[in-house]
Amino acid sequence: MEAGIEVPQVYLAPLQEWFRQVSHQISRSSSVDGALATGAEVKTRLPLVGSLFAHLTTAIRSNSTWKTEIREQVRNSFTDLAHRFNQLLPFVEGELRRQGRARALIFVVDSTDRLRGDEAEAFFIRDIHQLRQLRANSIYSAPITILDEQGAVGQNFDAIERLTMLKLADKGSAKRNEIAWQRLPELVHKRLPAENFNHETTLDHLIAHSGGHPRDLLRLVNLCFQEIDEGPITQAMAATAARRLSNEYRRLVQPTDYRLLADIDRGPPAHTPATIETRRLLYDLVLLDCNSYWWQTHPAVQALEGYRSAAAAGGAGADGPPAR
Amino acid sequence: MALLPVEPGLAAAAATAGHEPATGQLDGRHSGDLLRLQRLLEHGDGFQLVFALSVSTIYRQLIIDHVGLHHPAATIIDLQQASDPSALFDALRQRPAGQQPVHLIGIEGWLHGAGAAALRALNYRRESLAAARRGTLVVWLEPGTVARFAHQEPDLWAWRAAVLDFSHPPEPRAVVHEQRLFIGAAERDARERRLAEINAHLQGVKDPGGPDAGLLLEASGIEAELGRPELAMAHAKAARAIFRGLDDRHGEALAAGCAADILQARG
Repeated sequence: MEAGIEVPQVYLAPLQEWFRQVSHQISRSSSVDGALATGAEVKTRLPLVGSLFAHLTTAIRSNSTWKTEIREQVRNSFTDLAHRFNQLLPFVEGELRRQGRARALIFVVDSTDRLRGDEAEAFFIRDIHQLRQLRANSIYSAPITILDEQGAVGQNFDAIERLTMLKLADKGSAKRNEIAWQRLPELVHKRLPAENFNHETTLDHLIAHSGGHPRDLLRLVNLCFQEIDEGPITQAMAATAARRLSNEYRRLVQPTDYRLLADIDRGPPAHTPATIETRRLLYDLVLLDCNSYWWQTHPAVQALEGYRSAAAAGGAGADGPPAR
Repeated sequence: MALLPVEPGLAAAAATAGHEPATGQLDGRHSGDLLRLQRLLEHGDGFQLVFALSVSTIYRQLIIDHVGLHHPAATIIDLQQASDPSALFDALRQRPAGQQPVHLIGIEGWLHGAGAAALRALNYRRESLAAARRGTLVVWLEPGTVARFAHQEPDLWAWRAAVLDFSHPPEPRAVVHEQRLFIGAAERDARERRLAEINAHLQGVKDPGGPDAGLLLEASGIEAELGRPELAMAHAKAARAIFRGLDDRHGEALAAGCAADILQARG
């Protein structure tokens, strides 16, 4: 987004120089061609940082071998980068305030939740001292597995917010959370007008089967399209789409998981046992993390025969999400 | 790795192990997912990721050839012998950019050779994958690989347009399924005996499958020949319900046709 802030070269030059040095190191130490060595364009408007590092991120995405080399070079010179970045930041923030355009600057770092295993631990735990060198307000997306790591993450960050699924209802309650039931149809209708459904209850059926997972709701709508030749989406199509989604999730559930899932659904909201199994189930979205941090089995999994048997054996009243 | 253009026309299925379809025919239970795949290929106008499950390489080729009837430019990328995590991207880069479907096979062999790094690379570089491929990428997997894929490539898994299952083993068939009555020439007694045989079998079946639905269609035909259209219609409807439950669209269409014939004969 163009911020309309003229950044004096005195603040840009150190970052540009850092980039040139790192690119040169990478080019010299690997067989990378000159693609990285073109250096930053001389930009004096935001988002300067984005354009400066666009070459690096493109190189990382295009070649796994370069990724290792680039990361190594960035890690080795990170303190230098942080120092130069921290010189730029107060100027930008001051200018924003002076122009009355903002009170503060926040950096949202997305996709770091894609980091896995050792890489995630290095980024969020072992090398956290590097991130903390940046004197910027930052929000990082983190994989859910890291949040359970012995509380170490809690010590490294000022706040941890869990982005849960949209709560369709409180645990064990048939009463709808009306805000969610208003917002989710809006989400769908931004992409597909209401007249494409034969009745609003058809969309309600899809919402219920999504468990409040926005992406799965859109997936269900797409699955309806795979059944349709013409005409609006009907209840029968919605039911078929729901069945197909259940079959996809069936592949992710081990036979021994069903009893655990039924137990969690049957238990009170505070029953959230942190085990290797529940971590896997949360990671695979078989188990959904809901508002105020109670867990519920994805409705697509609740519809499976294995779950129903386990629930019946345990005497659970696992009837799935509340319907209208 | 090999890049093979798909030959149009159904591949002749050579009989191999006992459970291989010897006649080269597609299992009716897969007709629903085959229809979905054809729809996805026909209507998709950008990158689409489709997972297709199979346990038989011959049967998989049968499906690919069937799809190739309508998409003769579809190609196959075989990663069975590849061991480089970037093998898929290298193979796609060799292809001209276009919207023709690409069937990706040999995934298990690739993962065995390249290790977990292959899946990490695929997940991390999924935008590159979408940029390199404007058409549909059909990733053929064994059913047991799906969970590993979903767990280790959650972001790529989240992009899936469909998961199509062509892995059902052939349904067991009893003698009653194999002995079909030729209605036209059969005497009334033979028809009644055949009906009794079918009914006796179906009474002992808890979960009727495709072959049992086929028996119901046969019974429907016999009842119609014997001048009992209500019974004929009941059997046709029952067969249709079973086929629908199995997502056997082909069988469902046959049953619907039987019902239409009965109605037409009734006037």
